[in-house]
Amino acid sequence: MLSFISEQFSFFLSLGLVLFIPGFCLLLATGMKNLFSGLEKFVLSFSLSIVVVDFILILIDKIGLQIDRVTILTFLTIFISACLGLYFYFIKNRQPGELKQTESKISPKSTLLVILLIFLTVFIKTIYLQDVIFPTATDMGHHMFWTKTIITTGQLPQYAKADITADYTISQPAPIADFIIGEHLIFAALGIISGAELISAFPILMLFLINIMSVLAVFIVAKELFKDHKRENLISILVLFLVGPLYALASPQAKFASGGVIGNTIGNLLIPMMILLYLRAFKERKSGYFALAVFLSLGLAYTHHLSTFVFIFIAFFSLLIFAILNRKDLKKYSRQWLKIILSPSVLAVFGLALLFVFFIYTPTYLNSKAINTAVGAPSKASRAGLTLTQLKSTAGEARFALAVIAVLILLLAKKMDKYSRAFLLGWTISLSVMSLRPDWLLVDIPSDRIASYVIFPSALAAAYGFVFVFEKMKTANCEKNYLKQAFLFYAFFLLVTFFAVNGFYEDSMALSTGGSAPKAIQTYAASAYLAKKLTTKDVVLKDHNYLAGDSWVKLFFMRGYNFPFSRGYFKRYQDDTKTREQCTNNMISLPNSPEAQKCFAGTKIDFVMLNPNNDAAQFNRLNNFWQIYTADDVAIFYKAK
Amino acid sequence: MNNKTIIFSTIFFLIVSFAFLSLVEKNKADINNQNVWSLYFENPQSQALDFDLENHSTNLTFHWQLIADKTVLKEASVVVQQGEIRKIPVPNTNFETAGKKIIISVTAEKKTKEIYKNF
Repeated sequence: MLSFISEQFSFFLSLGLVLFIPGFCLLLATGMKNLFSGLEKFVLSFSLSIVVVDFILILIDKIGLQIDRVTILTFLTIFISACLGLYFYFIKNRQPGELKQTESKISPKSTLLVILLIFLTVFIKTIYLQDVIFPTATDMGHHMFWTKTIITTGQLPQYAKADITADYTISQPAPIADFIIGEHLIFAALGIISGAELISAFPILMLFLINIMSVLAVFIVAKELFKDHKRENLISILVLFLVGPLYALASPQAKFASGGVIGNTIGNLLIPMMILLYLRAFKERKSGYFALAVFLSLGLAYTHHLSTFVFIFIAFFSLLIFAILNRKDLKKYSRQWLKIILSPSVLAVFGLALLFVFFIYTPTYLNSKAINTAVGAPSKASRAGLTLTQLKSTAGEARFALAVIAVLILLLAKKMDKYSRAFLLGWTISLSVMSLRPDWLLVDIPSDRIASYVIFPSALAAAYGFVFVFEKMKTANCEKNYLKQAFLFYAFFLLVTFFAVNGFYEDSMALSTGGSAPKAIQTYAASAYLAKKLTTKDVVLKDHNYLAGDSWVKLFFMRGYNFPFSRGYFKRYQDDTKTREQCTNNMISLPNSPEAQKCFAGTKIDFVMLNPNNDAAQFNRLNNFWQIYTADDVAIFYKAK
Repeated sequence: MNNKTIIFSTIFFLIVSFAFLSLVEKNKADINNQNVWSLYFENPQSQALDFDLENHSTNLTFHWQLIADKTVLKEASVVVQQGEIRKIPVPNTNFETAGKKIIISVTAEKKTKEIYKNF
């Protein structure tokens, strides 16, 4: 018990040191601490810390030092000290009467409601995660391999993998653009500082934390978007209700956390925070906000290419909608924007961005091949766009219905702040178009992945639409006196019930029963055994279809991303749009076939790990394969020489 | 809005949740809670037949047999505590293995597992 407590203490301390303090100190150094509310500082510190720590680790590697506990702590100390130094300089030089952000007043009852909603959100996600907290998810396994590479080598990884070629041999590792450095650095930093094992609850807890922060981020954005609305607090609390406890589990929320969809989860935090900062920059014409926004944008670009791609479209649509709705004064606004963009702080961040991209570390996806994969006419059915029904299902029926109404209202809402209106419309419409008609925008990315980004803007729009409708009905009631108050009350109650039932129903559908921990543990035990017995000449093949937790097996060997080789999903071998090697399929499915024999001879694969309940029969018949390990759900065969 | 109250409440909920989930994960990660046992050769690549019986189940008594071409050459019962790995030496100098399939078959509570080498 004592060791458990000390592990927890170490973990929380590391979280604070890595994921709050650097970002908070950066905020202090900008002299903008007082321009944010307490909750904004809390979420912003977290978001900024992710980016700061990423860049610190990249710098450590570029300088030629090992990424380990000493260097990380040293560089963090230098960074924090520099920020505090700048902060005290600002304190010394601050002009008297400098503006301080006033926090909006709200009743204790509303505070209690917010706390209740956050409690429900954390509670529901905890109930879901308890069944899947043991690490087995495929994506997470892949990501943690790269994280472990950073931890064990002390260097940034080379994202490359070996493959089986057409002449049945194993190629040299070739670069892959599937992974981006920012997805792994923060886990590596936390793993190194805290000493937490990667095959543990730690990665999922990290993503859970990021997900909760993204819920708070959307809440904060709601408060900013509707700051001038008389029902600001009601709208923002409703937003918290719609993104918190309701639809808490479906993608991209808790499911992405348990599934290890790291880039998307971090993107869902950084995008709302970037929108908040850009919005403030334009509304208040303060370049400091813009500089922070660009800094976060740079961090996003180093973390997740899809989220960056989505944000570019959000920004473009927001700008376009602003230009259309305010075309008369566009010249005036353009001059204001230029003044903000050409300020020293913003140019400094742009300079930092150029320095990093061109001289320090270029994200792996910034090559023409990767760009051509994402841009262009949709190449497969899964990238051709969702139907309206599918998008409705992704966004949640209740949210979707009201969001559609809200978008129509927003187009006519001239009283709303012009920037807030443009950003909310741009955010909602861009994602809807990217999901429904990607061919209009030359987007060639799986449409369901794009659609998962629509959750947050649809919740914002839905909350606004809901309050707008009831405000109008209430006003009509007072003026015309033919609608009874009771009708309003029942209608409000019914609609909230519809939301709640729909949202909680989605939650209940996502709850799993048991998880695959018992089977995965056997896989890991077998992997640990094999890792001890292998020589450098041995090569392993495993199955992905029936072996639980198989993507984590590579963490036991650390001999390359594609070691062991894997028989993937059967449908992939029949994909007409992408020719694949058939060796990994034949060597397990038909080990005695002539093709498989050529594959075994060429690749030198001599160990095969599979689920005996599905794949042992074809090996048991063969004299040249020995069954050398067996448990309930995993077996290992050796191809004798 | 009382931001500090919201922040500290959030931190409190997360700490409790994380501690709970960590405890649940530790429980799931303990292989002794999974009621499984496994069987494997000490040296998978050589002709040695020494094997290990790794027990994480509630069964304590295991009956093993050394079988060559359907003939039982040797058998014995062994008690393996939960969490224990019992190494069982099988010297293969006492019998002819050439051209035979040598099977180690272990049975516990009506469940049988086998490992084998073909010589």
